[in-house]
Amino acid sequence: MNKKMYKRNKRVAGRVLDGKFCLMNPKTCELIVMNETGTFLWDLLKEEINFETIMSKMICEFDAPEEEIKKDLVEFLNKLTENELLV
Amino acid sequence: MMGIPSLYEKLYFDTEIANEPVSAFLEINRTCNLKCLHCYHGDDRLVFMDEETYTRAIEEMEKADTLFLVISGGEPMLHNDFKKIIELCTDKGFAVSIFSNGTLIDDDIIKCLSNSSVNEVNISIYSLIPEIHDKITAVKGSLNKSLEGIKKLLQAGIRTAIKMVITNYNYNDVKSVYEYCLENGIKFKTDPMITPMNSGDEKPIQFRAQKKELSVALAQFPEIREEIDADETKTCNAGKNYYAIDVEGNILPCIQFPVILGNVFEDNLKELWKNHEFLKKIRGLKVEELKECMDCSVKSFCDRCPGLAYIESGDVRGKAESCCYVAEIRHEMKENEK
Repeated sequence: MNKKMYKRNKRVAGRVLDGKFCLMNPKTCELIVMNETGTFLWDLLKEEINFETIMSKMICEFDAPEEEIKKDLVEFLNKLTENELLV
Repeated sequence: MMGIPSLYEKLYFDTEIANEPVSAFLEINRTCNLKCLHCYHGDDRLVFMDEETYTRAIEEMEKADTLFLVISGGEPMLHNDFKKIIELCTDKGFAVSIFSNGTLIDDDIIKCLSNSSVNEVNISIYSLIPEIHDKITAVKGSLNKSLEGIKKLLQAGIRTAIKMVITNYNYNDVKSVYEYCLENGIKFKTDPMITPMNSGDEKPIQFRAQKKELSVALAQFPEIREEIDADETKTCNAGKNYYAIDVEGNILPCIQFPVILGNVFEDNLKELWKNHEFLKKIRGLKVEELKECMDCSVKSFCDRCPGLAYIESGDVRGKAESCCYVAEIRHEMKENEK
């Protein structure tokens, strides 16, 4: 079981604009616009949260096979971690 | 499923078209430890934004969904609450850039910036020759302090830019400052525009580079020469997706557009942004209405500023002599290339 905790890096600026989260990575100045799923996840990540909790919330929210959700979630969290958007 | 494209320019363009206040300028004080000859502030410099005002301003800006925020002064690091303000802006999710002279940057400031959502610190440098830079700032030793500040920013990996205003004292120094930036991974921004003070006082104009001098300056920086190929007389973003809040909490279209639209203690910024008649007027401004500018032979070389037009002619549709001055020089340079 993945016990790792995830939380937004407080250095990352962000706003919901037109229903989508726009983030700015202060290190690269890159602007990232989340799609609907990313926006849902970024909202969850405002508080420290573990993988299993995110997974259960995703399963409730999205009508997709569990394995597909898990694969996408791992990829998403890895990408955000690599870009220092999470701590 | 979870695409994350980079869309900064699209966002800026979309919000300008949709008139969403995505970008703002917060003046936290007018006080400065330097006395730059060309500064647009008048004699009302001993003013700091108090805690109640900056807290309210930041709340209003957050509610209005502003993302990009410039924090400026005066010299903003002179504010006793500078670090507190940066922390507050970070907590509220703003992407912050700072305009500073860099002379007050110490380890505490670096620590604060390194843990914040500050994405760029802009430092004013006028020359790498102390006698010239310090003559413009009117404070001996200021260049060395500013360069020390830049060094600390770079060591901490904080994105840094140099802003160089061109005057009649430093027009020969653009190339050396530009090369210093290239060598050190610093973004170079230059501004040939010396404007009257916000009060209308024309004292700074005497420090404007003469036409020949400005040609010399602009020729030293290749990017500027590319900019002059613009085909249209533009209207700027002020009041479209950009606004300013001054040290007293007044809401303005831009810090150099002194029309008070409201105040953070009296108005709901989000509502004011949607409904203010003056904002509707500047958003609806058509290029055809800019009569003097439309007939101008150098309009395609002009970065027209409605705020300066208002200060200089009393009419947002009028012409700003400061902009005409730079446009004429750019035009002459283009002609000389042929």
